[in-house]
Amino acid sequence: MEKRTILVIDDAADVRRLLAFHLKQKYNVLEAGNGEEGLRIIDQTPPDLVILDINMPKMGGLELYRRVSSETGKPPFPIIVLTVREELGIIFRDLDVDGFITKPFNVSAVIEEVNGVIARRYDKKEEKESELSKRPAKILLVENDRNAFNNIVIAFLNAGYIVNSAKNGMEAIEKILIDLPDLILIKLGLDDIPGDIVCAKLKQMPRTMNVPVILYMPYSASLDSVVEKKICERAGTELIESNSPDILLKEVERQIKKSK
Amino acid sequence: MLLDRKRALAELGIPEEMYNELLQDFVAETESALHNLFEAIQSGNREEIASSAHFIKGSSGNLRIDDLYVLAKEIEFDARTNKDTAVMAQNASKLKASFEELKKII
Repeated sequence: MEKRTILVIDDAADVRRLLAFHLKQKYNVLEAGNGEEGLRIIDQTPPDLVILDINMPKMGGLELYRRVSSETGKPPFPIIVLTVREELGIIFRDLDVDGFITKPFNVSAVIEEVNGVIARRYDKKEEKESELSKRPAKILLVENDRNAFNNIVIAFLNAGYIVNSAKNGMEAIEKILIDLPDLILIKLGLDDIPGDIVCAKLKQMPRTMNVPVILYMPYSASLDSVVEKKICERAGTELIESNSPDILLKEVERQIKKSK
Repeated sequence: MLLDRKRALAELGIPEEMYNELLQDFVAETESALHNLFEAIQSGNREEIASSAHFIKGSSGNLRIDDLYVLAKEIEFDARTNKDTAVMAQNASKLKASFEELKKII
């Protein structure tokens, strides 16, 4: 099978050299030191994936993204953004990309991310499915109440799940983009971004749109049915009106079974 | 420790020879970035301070030179949040001293 082509666009020569050293074992690697050079290479040799830095002289990553997306609104190839942690929020708001790596990066995390994105975009679906059936499912729990959090985590760990956690919407988004979970369990009432808004954004992004999301809230007798309907429409998912670990566990099991 | 070579090699997964070459490139580029940083602090140009510090932060972080990374990160943050340039000058002097130490051991 012909090797796929990865284009690394970063103004730091050491980053390009480090990534090229590792990626060349499996891929053809092209390099550009800024967005302008990157566009020229893309015109001559369309890549299968682009690793893109954001802060670069001449033309930065956001401008390159805009240029390559001008025809259809989306880039014609998957993009993994290399960025500092502080910029994740801006990038999440403005771009639909396939992956994020925060700097200073861990080389093995980059290689894993590249392999994962290539497999998701180009390889057979069955490979992904068989990988999930071999290991315990990884859940991201987004809950801001300590007691509820403890109860839910204990139930899920006892049931054999791997549980990662976040206490608010922004932390959840960062964690989801860095380490994609198999399922997201998110509370509606968070302190920063409401859970339904986080769900809506995740449904729009290619990288996260197929990850099952369960939105829940503690039972409230006063929840208006019209309000509930609006929340569900916005979130693109049902709202579970309970934070009981047993009920959430059953719902998660149902969703995981469905996604396999 | 200014430079934990063993950890850097393990985390970057590259041969020692390549790491040494990257360090030499880092030294050459950082000489010029430090020069720009001091000039920018002198003239109070925060954009330029942040840009030079950002460069040093990125390269030192990639090569796992932690002391330089932490100081450069602080200077960049201070420049972007309008902190007093005297604080940045102090950190830039510490950065320069660590950099001179690094040159002796590589």
